[in-house]
Amino acid sequence: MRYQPIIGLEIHTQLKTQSKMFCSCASQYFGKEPNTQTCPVCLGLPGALPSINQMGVEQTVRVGLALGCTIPEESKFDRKNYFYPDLVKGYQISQYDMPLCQHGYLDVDALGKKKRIRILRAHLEEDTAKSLHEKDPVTGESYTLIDCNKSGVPLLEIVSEPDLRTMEEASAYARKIRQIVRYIDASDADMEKGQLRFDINVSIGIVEDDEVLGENDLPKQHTPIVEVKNLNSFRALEKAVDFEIKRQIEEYEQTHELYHAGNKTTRGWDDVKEVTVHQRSKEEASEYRYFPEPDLPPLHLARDYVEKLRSELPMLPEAKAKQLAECCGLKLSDAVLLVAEKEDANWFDQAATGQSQVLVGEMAKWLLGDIAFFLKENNLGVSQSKLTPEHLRELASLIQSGEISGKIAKEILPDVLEKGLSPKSVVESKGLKQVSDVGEIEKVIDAVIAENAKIVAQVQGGKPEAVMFLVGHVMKKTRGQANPPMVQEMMRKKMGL
Amino acid sequence: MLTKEQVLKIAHLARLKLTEAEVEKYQGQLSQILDYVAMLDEVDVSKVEPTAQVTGLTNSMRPDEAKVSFGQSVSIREAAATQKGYFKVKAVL
Repeated sequence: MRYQPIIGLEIHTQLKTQSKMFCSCASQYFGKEPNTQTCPVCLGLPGALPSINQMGVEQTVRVGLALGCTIPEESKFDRKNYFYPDLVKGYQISQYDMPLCQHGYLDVDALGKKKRIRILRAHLEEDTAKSLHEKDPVTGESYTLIDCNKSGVPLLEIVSEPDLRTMEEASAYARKIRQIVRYIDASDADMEKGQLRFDINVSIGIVEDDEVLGENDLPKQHTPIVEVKNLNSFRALEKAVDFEIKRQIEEYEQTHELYHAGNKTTRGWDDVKEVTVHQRSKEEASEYRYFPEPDLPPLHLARDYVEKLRSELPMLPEAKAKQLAECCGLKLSDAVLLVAEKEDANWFDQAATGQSQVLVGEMAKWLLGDIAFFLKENNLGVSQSKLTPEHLRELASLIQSGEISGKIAKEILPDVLEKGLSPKSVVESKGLKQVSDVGEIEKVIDAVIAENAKIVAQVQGGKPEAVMFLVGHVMKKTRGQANPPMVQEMMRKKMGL
Repeated sequence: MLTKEQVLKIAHLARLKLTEAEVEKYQGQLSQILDYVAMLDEVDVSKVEPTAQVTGLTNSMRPDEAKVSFGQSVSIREAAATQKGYFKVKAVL
């Protein structure tokens, strides 16, 4: 017998629109005074009539298409009924049995293996209000404050099949979803602003020795399913998955309890203690008393409309990396890094388009090396930094043509990156041009030979490797500006090697 | 007839507190309502397309434009309790 974690993910991401999903209040609520972007609809006042935001539907379909989903011709909204103070109407407008996107997939790389994760559905709903849990310092009374600015913001819920088997797969899947929704500009998915949240469903398969399982097969028996709600960082997602796997195995070894209808539970994540905490038994779908939203007519998605949206989707990161690797002779793993963020990918396109493979390779090397290090230190994306595509190209050309050495390139980088100066101008103003003048180099070589008679004797007396010591001295004397291959060649010649 | 447990479960979902007598009353009344609605089961709908709406409308959508909302003072004016522009409610969790 062995244990096999079974993980499914529900990812909530706020869609990028100007207005809320079912009313015309502004949807950008971050940093706004509480309850300043509300109206009768999103305050749940009696008699208010919702209306469908066309862009919310469009963004949903775009995400669905990017995730390989089928977009059915018919779709509709439903009411999901439950009581919670952040849900002012007493129900959430969501989609139950006819979601806008069905049966997609995402290929993820985790632990060096590629795996296809099936997506069950993606449906459009409205976000809830924001609640702050407070405690009166004097009376000790606990209470909750509600801000309805977030109430009604379009929210897309992407539901995976329980195809994930490890924390690494779950994390890679979540990260890739975020990358894609950002790439196609359907969501900013800014985690610090709570625009992307995860719920995980975890259970442990009890796999018998003679049980043969395919990649996405479920074991015949597994522990009760636990849903951990509202994880709002990748770190929390990873920690919570890890914790649940360990906790459930321990629990199973004591109780031997297996899943059956009715023993699902919901747990919360304690970010400080890094543990999950029991909250309640999980509602079954019937307890939400879903029914078709009577205030919103159904949607009919014309095929030509869907195909138009498909044709307008930008190239996705995976295809983009492949294209870059092929056209410019880069390693695929390097290309993947270069196109990880859309803005950075476009930035690199500008630098690389029309350039030779060698030059693009040189640019990629610097961008992924010293420049990446600088950007990371300063917490910037390359597109937000002062480095321009033209300047990167200039830097790479200077190195390729032999005008400056890699060492000098490193020396001028701070000015180029921090002040936005052109590499050429920095080289000139600091007098750092690489010396490739035979006469000038020869003078220095002669001086070094004169000053190091002992080493010269060693080289000529059968220790040729000591020549590098002399080369080093020449480089030092020229403050790194002499062209290194030239110095080496000339020095060897002088020594008769 | 609905069991006591079923009535209590429904009451819990609706966040209603029922007395023993009320539970018994609703056992009868809710069962009657269900039976009444169940009369629809006798209708032959084999040739009827399922629908969630009878208005005949589809794709009733509005363009994505943000408009001026209530200000804070109007939003929270009718609330039973407020604090710093927020609605104040009993603690949850």
